[in-house]
Amino acid sequence: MRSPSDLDPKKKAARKAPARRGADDAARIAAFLRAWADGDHDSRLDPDSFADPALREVAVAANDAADGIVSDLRNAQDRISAVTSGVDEAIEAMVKLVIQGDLSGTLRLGITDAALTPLIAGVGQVMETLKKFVTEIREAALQLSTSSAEVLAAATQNESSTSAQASAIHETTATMEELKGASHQIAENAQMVASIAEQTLVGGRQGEGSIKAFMEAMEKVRHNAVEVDEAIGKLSRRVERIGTVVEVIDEIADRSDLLALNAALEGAKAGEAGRGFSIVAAEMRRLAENVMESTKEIKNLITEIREATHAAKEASDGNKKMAAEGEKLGGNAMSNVTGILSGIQETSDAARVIHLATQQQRTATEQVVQSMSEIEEVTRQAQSGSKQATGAAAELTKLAERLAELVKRFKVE
Amino acid sequence: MRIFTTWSPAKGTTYTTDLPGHPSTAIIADRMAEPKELQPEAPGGKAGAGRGGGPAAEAWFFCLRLLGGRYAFEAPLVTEVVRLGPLTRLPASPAFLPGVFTHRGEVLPVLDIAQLVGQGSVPIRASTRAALVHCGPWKVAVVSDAVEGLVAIPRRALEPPLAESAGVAEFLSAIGRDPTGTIAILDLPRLVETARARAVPAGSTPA
Amino acid sequence: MSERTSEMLMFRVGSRVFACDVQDVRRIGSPLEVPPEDLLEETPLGRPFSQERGLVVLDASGELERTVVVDHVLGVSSIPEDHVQPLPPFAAACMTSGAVAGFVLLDDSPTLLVDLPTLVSEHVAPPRSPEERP
Repeated sequence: MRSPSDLDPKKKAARKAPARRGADDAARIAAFLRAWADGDHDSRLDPDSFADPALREVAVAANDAADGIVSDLRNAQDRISAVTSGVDEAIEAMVKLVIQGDLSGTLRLGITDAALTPLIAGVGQVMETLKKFVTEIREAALQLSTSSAEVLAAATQNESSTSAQASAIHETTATMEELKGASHQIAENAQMVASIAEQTLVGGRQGEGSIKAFMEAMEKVRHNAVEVDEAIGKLSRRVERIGTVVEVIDEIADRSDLLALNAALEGAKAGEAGRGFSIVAAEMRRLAENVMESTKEIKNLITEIREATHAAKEASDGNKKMAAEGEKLGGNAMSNVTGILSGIQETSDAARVIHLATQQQRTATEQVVQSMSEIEEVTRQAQSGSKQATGAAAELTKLAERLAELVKRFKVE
Repeated sequence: MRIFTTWSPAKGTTYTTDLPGHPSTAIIADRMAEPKELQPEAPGGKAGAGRGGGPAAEAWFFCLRLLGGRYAFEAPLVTEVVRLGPLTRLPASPAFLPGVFTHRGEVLPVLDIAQLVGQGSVPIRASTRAALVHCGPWKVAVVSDAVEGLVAIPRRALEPPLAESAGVAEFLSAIGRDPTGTIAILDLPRLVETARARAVPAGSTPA
Repeated sequence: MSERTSEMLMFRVGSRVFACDVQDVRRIGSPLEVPPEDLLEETPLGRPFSQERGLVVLDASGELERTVVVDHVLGVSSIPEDHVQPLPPFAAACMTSGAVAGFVLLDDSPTLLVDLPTLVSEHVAPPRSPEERP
């Protein structure tokens, strides 16, 4: 340790000023005190140089005081420097420790100065506290790392979910848009169907009317046919009666003819004698032949009438059959038309329902779309929030890692 | 027997006579000789009953187309060539007797040689030509597909027929030739007599 | 010269007209009134279309009476004798039935003159074939 007496000898020598006698001595003592006040602790009086013995004594006392002070100072300085160096040492040791990070050991100092013991103790406490602190920090850092990793994972998850949700929502929105368009189409089509159904309904009603008219006509035909039948029946019976009469006449004429023939035969056989007879017989024959000619004509006529009647009857039967067929067909057609009409009615109603439904659907769809876009918005926000969260979590994780890195350096066990 | 003596001086002329009330008859004067040649005293052979005279160098035959060939018989058998006209069918008569017809107020039977020999039948239309022949007591109108008329064949050109007995061959007496071709000479009297003998009813139902 | 005439009954069987001597016909009747076994329908004259009239005839022996069914009796005609012709000999020789006696010449077409009694006799007892005839 240096002592203040290790000052520059030159300076020391210089301080020994040329001795002046008397006043000079007091002045020299004053200057000496003044130099000491100014801090020149090297200044000394040369007692020899003093004439005045009292002042010499003072000078010697001053020099002794000065030496005593200087030595006290030196001691104090030594003390201070010892402490200082002790503290420095402690600090150095602490810093070293901190730098090295090894808090596991205890502070080893070469300081023996008892005055520093509290300091050492204090430093030791500081170290202990520091150790504890570091341990806690490490634990916290670990926890933080874990938590931040979890948060990051969750945030990432959330981000991807929200992302998925966002795209799902986007898809849904798109679908809903399509649906909106489609339901518009449907509404339009339903409108068209409804109007067609209306038209068809009108037409169908007309058809119904026509069929009814047709069936009435068939009924009339059938009725007519029945009347015709009756008329034909009457005619037939009359013709048959005539036929019977004609048959009788024919029979008679035939008989007459036969008689006449035989008369002619006998007349011929009798030769001359029978000539007159033959003539009469011939006349009779002619008569009979005339009658038979007439009856033949009538018979032909009757046959013609019969055939015509038969044809008429057949036609009438045909008509009746046709009318019956017609009625049946009409009935079928009617039920078909009725079926169609009710079907159309249903269609019409259905179309209207569809129309309404589609309109409702459209409104609903629009609402949904609206809601969806709101959801989308929220989701987007959530997404961005997620992103932020993720970002923050990432940051946090990074920090946690850094901290962990930092505290890793400190060995506490 | 009547020989119709009206003919045209020129050969190959067809003479048609229409007698009132009778169907028209056609006489073919084709190659018919002058009447003198057919006089009994002239050689040439007339199938006159009981007439004498030796055989002449040429014989006259009446030729028909029948059964797809040329057939002939002794010319003197023929009295006339006629168009048949409507035919009255006879009930209960043989197939070779398709019916009768009226000619100049006379009812004459028709002989179908084709039916007799069982080789089809001659199609009979109103225009069908028949040769009226006298074979002994029988007066018959022989129908054919066509009538050629009189042909003269030298006797030395006559050959015996082939020894066939089937169909018409059984009635052939000779085979002759003339510039046109072969002619089968029929023994008409034998044919007619055979027909009569063979008369098989053609069925009880007349046409 | 007086024209001698024959009284002929003209009748139709099927589509053919025939003639017969009036003396051969007893009377004209209706076939429907006659028992079927006494009817002649299928004869060499043909088959009638109907059963209009019947000619009541005695057979050649005069013992059997039959009714020949005909379609129509035209009537009695006086036929001049020169209009009546016999069967040509060749035809007569070739026919198996004696029912055809000759012809009546009406309108240039010969109408068959029928021997009704022979017809009836032959129907009752069919004739032998010509080969068996002497």
